[in-house]
Amino acid sequence: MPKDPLWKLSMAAVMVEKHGFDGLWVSEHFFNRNSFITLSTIARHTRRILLGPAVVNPYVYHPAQMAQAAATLWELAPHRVRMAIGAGDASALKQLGYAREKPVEKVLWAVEEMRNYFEKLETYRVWDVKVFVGAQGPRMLKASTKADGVLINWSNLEMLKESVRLLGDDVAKGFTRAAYLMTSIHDDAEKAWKTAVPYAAYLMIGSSPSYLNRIGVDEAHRKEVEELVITRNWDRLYQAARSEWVDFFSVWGKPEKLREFVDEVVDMGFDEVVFAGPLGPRYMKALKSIAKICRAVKRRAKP
Amino acid sequence: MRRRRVAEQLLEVLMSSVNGNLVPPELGWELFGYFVEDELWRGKGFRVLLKACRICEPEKTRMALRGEFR
Repeated sequence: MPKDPLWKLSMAAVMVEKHGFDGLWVSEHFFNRNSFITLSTIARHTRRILLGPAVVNPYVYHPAQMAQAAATLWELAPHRVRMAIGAGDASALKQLGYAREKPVEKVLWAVEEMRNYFEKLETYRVWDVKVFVGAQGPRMLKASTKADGVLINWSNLEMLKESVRLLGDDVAKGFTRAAYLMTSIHDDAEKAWKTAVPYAAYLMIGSSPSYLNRIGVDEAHRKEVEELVITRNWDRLYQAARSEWVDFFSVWGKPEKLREFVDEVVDMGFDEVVFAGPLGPRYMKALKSIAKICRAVKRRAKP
Repeated sequence: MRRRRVAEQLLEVLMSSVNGNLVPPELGWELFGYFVEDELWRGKGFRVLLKACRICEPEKTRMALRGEFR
C-alpha cells in the first residue's frame, strides 16, 4: 500500500507478521513515503519478518546512502534486513529531472558499491544483508546473477517461465529467485478485476514498446490509458481496459485462481513469491486468503 | 462479541480505503496504539476507529455499522 500513511502501513505490517508471512517489502517511490523511514517504524513493531525496500534506484539514492540506511535499519532489526536495487520507474525519474541512463550498468555498479560501503562501515557492522536486483528485461535478469537474488516483476506465467530460462542455472549457491506478483483477489472476480485495473494500467503505461508490441498494445492505446491514469478517470479507464494488458500485468480473480498460479510459479523453480499490492478490494480478507494459499503451497512443496 | 465483529468490519473498511491520507496523523497513531493493544473493539479504541472510518469512508462505515459491509 505505497500511497498509504505511515500509521496504516505499520498496521498492515503487524497484520502481515501475525498471518505468518516470512517477510515484507516496502515499495520505494519518491512520491510516496520514504521506504527506509517506513521500514524503521515497522521494525519497531515487528519481531520476526524480513524487511526491505523494493526497489531503491541508484539515480535518487547513492549506494553509500543505501548502505548506511540498510546498516542502520539492521541495528533496529538484526538479521532481518534485505535490500532490492532496481532501475526505478522511468516516468517518476523524469518528473524528478533524472534521465534513466544505462540502467543495467548503473544497478550493477550500485550493488557492488553498496557491498563495498558495508565493508567500510567501521563503527557498526552488518554481515547478512542479502542484496536483490529488481528485474524485468533479459539484460537486467542476467545482471542480477551478480547479486544475492532477483525480484522478477512479472505477473504473467509465460514471462516468468521465460525469465527463469534466461536466468539459467549458472547462479551462485543461495541465489534467491523471487516472483513479484501484482495481486488482486476476491470471491467476486469482477471486484478483483476492478481493483487490479488501475495498478495494471500504471505498469502498462511505463512498459517498454517491445513488451507492449508483444501483447498487441499500440502507442495510441497506451497514451489513451496514460491520460486516464493521470486524470484519475477510473470509470473511463474501466471501459478502456483490455484483458491483453490487465492479465499480463496482474494476477486477479478468485483465491483459487491465485492458488493455481502460485503452484505453477513454485514448480518453475522460484524460491519466493512476493504478493504486491493492492492484494484485493478487501485488504484484510485478501491477506487472510493469501496466507492460507501460502500455507497450502508450502505443505505441498515439502518433500 | 457483536462489538468485536463490528470493529473487525470497520477495520476492513479502513484498511481497504484509498482515503487513508485524509486521517490526521495524530488520530492515525492513536488508532495504531489501540490496534496493537487489541483495544479497537471497546471504549475509546472503538470511538477512534469509528472516527477514522467516517473520515475515510462515510457510506461504507454506515454499512459496516448495519452489518451490511461485504
